[in-house]
Amino acid sequence: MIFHIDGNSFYASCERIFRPDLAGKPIAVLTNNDGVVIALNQECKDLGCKRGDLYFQVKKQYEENGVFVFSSNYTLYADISRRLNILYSEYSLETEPYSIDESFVYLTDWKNADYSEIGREIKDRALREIHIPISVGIAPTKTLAKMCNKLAKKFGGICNWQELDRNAVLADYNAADIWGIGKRKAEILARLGVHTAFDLANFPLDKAKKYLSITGFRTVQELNGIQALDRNELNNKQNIGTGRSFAHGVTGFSELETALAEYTQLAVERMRAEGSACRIVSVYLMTAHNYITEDRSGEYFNAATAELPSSSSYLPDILAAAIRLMRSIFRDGYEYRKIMINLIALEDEAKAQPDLFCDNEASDKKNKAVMSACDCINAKYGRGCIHPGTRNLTKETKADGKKADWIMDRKMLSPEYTTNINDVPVVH
Amino acid sequence: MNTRNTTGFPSPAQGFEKDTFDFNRILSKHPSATFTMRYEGKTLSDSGLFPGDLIIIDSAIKPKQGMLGIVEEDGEFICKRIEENSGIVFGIITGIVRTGIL
Repeated sequence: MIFHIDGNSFYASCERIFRPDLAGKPIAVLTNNDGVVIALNQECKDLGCKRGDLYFQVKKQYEENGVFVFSSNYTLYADISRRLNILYSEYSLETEPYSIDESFVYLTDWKNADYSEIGREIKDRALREIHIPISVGIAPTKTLAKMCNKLAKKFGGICNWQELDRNAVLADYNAADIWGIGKRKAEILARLGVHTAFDLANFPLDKAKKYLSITGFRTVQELNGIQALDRNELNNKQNIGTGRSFAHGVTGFSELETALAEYTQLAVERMRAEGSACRIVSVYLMTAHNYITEDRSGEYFNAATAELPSSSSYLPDILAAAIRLMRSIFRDGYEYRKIMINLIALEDEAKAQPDLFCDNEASDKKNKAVMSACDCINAKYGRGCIHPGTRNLTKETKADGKKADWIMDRKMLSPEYTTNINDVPVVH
Repeated sequence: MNTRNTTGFPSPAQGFEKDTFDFNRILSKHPSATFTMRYEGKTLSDSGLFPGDLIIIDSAIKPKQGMLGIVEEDGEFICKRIEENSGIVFGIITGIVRTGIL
């Protein structure tokens, strides 16, 4: 069974965690450089504010309505995302972060399992332990799980496909809102008389392939409860991750390091193929969860996140950060069953923010040349033919402990509540 | 904590080095639910809390009466003993870090 879990108004919910004074108040979060509104909570939506509003146009309206406006604090969001994924991985090692605020979690298909109850438990724990409201969609395929997640927002946070009047739900769901069916495909479908998810589920497969290509073909299968999307297809526009569970427990640091190096290389290769660079690197390390006994002493789930001084697609930089992160969470004496790396806050490599402290042009040119050469050799002689063996100092912070991203205009940035000791909340 | 970066492919010593004990392990039982705040109040010195202390908060522990915790009151986080009618509890204090004693 597949759970699709996402944080409700995630960025706004993160901003709310350490601001009890904002309960019930409208909150909006802006993009890099404070240009566009990218996230708002329900209170803010109720005022008629919309995602995509240009901030300079709506600034006055927001002020008049008492909207609390924040610059995007990716360091905070990535840390909260990390915590949520640690929680999910207690329920299944097959946890797949899809973007900073959504994950797929694969649960074993047990007989008589009460998946809704498991969903409720995860939801309650996320709210109580991490202070983030989440929604859970539960279904046999990714596409249906994502659909159920959308419906969950109306059903009190949990929606289980198996408990629904399926045909009625599909008939009530716009084809355009289905995951993988964009605006363009929806237009093609409309011309063919396909308007709802029900129409599409009953669309002949050969036609689906002809009009919608292989992705549309898969969507139709998924709507019929047949898994057609790969588990490890983690790529999307905001996030690239790789990681596997091990066949046997692994205890040694160097074995884990080797695995991490391999997955990091895979993730960076994928990212480079898309022409992207990442700002944030997360590493997850986990043991298996023991379902049989109550004994939790052999269990350990942890993750660490770092922000690079500037966006990078340079493998040695990213690997150095990844291994350093692993070192910070590695504990002796556990049998690890999975390691995972996640590259977040992707942006166009060409547009990546430069790091003012580096001699960019020279080092960039050199890095690009090195990486292109590696890509070529690996393409020709097989993946992993050339791999990193370097030691590289990754700067996550400047000397004063602040991260080196002040180049960006982020006037309304909230503190790094959870990641910077100088920024932790003060209580009396 | 590591400030030097020791990375890359197997250094001969890796895997054999014996690090000192790790404060994270001592201070945090539930890594995903552990938060840190700084106490700047003056009323809890009887409970061993002094201004400037870093307090370790575990949100995964079920609050019980008498525990020291962070409670939401009038839109503010307050550090106090949990009572029966305490409002929303953010978490329970499980540790204190006090530095700069010299």
